[in-house]
Amino acid sequence: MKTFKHHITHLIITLIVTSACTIHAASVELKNGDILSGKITSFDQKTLSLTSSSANENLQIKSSNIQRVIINNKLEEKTKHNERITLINEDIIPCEVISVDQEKVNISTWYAGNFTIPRKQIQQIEFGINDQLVIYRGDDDLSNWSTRKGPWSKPSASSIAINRSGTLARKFDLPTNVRISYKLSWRGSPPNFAFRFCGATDSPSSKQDTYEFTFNVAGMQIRRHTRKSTTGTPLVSDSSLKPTVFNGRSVNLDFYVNRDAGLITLLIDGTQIGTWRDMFEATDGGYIKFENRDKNSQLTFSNILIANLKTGILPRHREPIEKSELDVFLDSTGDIYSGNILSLIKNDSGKRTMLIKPTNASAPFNVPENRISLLRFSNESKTNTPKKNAFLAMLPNYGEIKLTNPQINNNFLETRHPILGKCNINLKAISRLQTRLTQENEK
Amino acid sequence: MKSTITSLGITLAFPFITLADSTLADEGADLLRFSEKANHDTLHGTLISLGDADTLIFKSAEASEPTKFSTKKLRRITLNRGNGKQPLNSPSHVTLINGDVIPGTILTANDQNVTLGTEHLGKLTIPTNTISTISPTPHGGKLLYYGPLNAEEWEKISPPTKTKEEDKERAKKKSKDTPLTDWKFFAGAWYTGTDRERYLVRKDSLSDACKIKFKINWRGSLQCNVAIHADLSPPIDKTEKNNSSNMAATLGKSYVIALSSHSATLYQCTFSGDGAPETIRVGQSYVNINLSRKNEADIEIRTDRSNNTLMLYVNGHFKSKWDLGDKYAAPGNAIAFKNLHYSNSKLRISEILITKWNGMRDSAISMQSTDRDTILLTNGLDRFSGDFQEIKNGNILFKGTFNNDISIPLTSVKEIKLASSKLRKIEDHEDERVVQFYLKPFGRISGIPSAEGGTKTKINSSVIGNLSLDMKYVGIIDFTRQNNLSNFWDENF
Repeated sequence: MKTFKHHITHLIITLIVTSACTIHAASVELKNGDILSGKITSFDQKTLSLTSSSANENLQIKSSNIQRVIINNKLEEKTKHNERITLINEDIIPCEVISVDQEKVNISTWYAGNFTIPRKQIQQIEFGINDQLVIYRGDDDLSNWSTRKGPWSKPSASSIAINRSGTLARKFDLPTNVRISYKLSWRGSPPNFAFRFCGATDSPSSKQDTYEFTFNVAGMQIRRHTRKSTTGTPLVSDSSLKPTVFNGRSVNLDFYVNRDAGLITLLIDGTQIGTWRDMFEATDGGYIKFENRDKNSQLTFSNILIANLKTGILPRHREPIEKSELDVFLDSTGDIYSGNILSLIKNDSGKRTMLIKPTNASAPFNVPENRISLLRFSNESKTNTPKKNAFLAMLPNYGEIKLTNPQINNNFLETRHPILGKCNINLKAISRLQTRLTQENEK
Repeated sequence: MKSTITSLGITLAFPFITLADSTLADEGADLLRFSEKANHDTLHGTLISLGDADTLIFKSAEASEPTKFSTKKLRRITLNRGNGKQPLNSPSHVTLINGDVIPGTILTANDQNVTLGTEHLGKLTIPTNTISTISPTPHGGKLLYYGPLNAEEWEKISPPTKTKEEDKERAKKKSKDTPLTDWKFFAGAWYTGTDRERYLVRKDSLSDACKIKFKINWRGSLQCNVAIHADLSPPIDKTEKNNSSNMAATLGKSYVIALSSHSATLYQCTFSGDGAPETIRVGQSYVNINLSRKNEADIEIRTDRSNNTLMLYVNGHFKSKWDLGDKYAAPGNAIAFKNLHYSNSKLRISEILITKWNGMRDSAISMQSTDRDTILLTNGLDRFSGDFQEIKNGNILFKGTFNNDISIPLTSVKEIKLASSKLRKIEDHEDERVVQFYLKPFGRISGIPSAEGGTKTKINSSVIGNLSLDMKYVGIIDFTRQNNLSNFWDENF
């Protein structure tokens, strides 16, 4: 307990716990690197109160000494919304868009209720982000992996790493249509990396039904291995996508496997590279396997996600759209129209339709909601980003919201948001709470 | 040389008639380059005409009469040192399914035909299913410069000298056994010489916000400095030191992008209080541009003085946006190139295109579809697919995938890619008699040539039929059908 002495102001008997405070299992990481696990009983701008199995009494921790708080929530709570709004202060709010007009956007969230947001306070809205159910987020222990060769480690709760050659494999109950994504970062030698997915076994044999993605100095390739072939059949091979192309020594890989239709889609850093047809009978395996083939290459895999693609349809086209003097609409197939987004409303059957008047169109036209990938609004106003006492709460679907002087009350984290106003966020929606300094360092 | 002439040609006995207005060209500035079958021989002179049955008539400076040659042993002909006799003026063009590029004004188009007004082929009606891309305004924003079209547009400058002794020393170096050579202009491209101190400069070229594109080829290692917004006005250097080798001493205040095979680095050229030139690296890290084992690249620099923006694209891929701090530190309007000439490396700079820029970062991917036509607009943002309907009265009519009608001025459309499923299939086997004519400053038409007379040559194109090509716009005639001139590194024009 001595190591906590600078951070814990005093220990008191559990008298401050009131009936109003619900207990949440969490890990609290302090700025000096200490980690305390327990249950949060209260949290406000000054103090976090924690019951820990390692202490007989409630621990009172100065909020200013907290690096981050990781809250253990069930994954099912994390995929309820299919849209995501990015505010002008860079906060990202998972939500359902109820309506859009020339002045405002109405949204609904399961975790904080409804909001009306002035349109000029919004950068963009993404649609169709979550036609999926998350199965796995890479946040469990390495002991759950059935094959582990080499010095694998977990540098953080949601990442795994290896600093020499090695293999990590595991069987999942993979659905017919599955998405697997992660961020691969490397140090030392350029990566010589192989990733198998939908594999029949975790053995190194190539004579099995599996897809194999390789990434090395020769570029990227996806091969389809079968029980009858030792070499496999390349579905796609791109020699231009070499490690040297990625300046930040990292790449976001996003695989979509539609085993119903026999299609594989790859997105790299959010951009759809292509979709390829698998000419063989669908694989039915559930193994995934990471393999570092270079002893001098250190690899880290973060933001690991495996999800059930509910609809099995191809992901909507994604690409970053920069700020423009006009509103911009990116459709699900990659078309981009600039002009004036007039409205988005729900019709009698509950389906939403957007009305847009592109600059070059003779008249406005309607777009059904399933064709919308992204709306980027013009006329953003400027914002003052809060610096002091600001925490960053991590929400489902890569959402995040900056909170000034938050406090826990009745299952909710209460704060006043500069754009959303009064905000009571259900703690079940928050996976992590961290100081903004931590987040900036991680960036 | 005489033996070559007699072995390949037959001396003709008819009056000498030049192909084009010879006042626009140097007499004897054309060059026949023979294939390996003819020992890679070369012959300077004047092309009189292309003839029937794989022949041409050429007047060598060494021969008293024009001579008939077989084209079967020819590799290329360069006309007027590769520059042609007159450049085409139209930036708009169409690209055919066989890769030919036809510059011209797009007059009308529908799902059957595209009509094009051209300087070199007259008015053309081309079946729409033989066109892969229609490019009404291919360069986007207002065109500030396209070239190089001739040597006079550019200047070559040396670093300043402080004393007459330095001048003498430099002159001495140049007059040694291996004299230093300067930048040379051939066939619409600048080739570096051996003098590593010489800058190739074009003044008053850049606007505050502009895109600069160029093609760079190299032999040996790539070591090229490109100066942007240089003011070419260095202050008087009051120090005792000889700072003339510092880039700032020549370029004045400017930004310089140093390109190598591996990386790009941005420098700022500035001056201390006593006028000493200083070159400061901008940003800490090198930008990896991954050009090792290559010998050509398309470079694009986008710069916006008012927004402190400087971006680099290589081969169409975004590479870097540099943080320039609070103030854009290059007040001039000149662009300059310099070859560092390490290990005798050589550079060729061509297809330089400077346009105004609206500050948008273009959509990274030019979408292509098998069953839908795709339009890209010049605003660098809009891109939509659907059915191209027609071009009429300067407007393009298009039906989008939301059953929406779109009408866009031609001047706002960068290109229309036509759905590949609608295009005619081209034959796998190409007739060996097909010749490719490269136009200046850009464009290509291929077909089987035959004599027509005057400045014209008949061409039978497998895609668009019989044509009459005005040869004064042709810079290179290629008999090898290699489909590009990127390997055409040749200073011997």
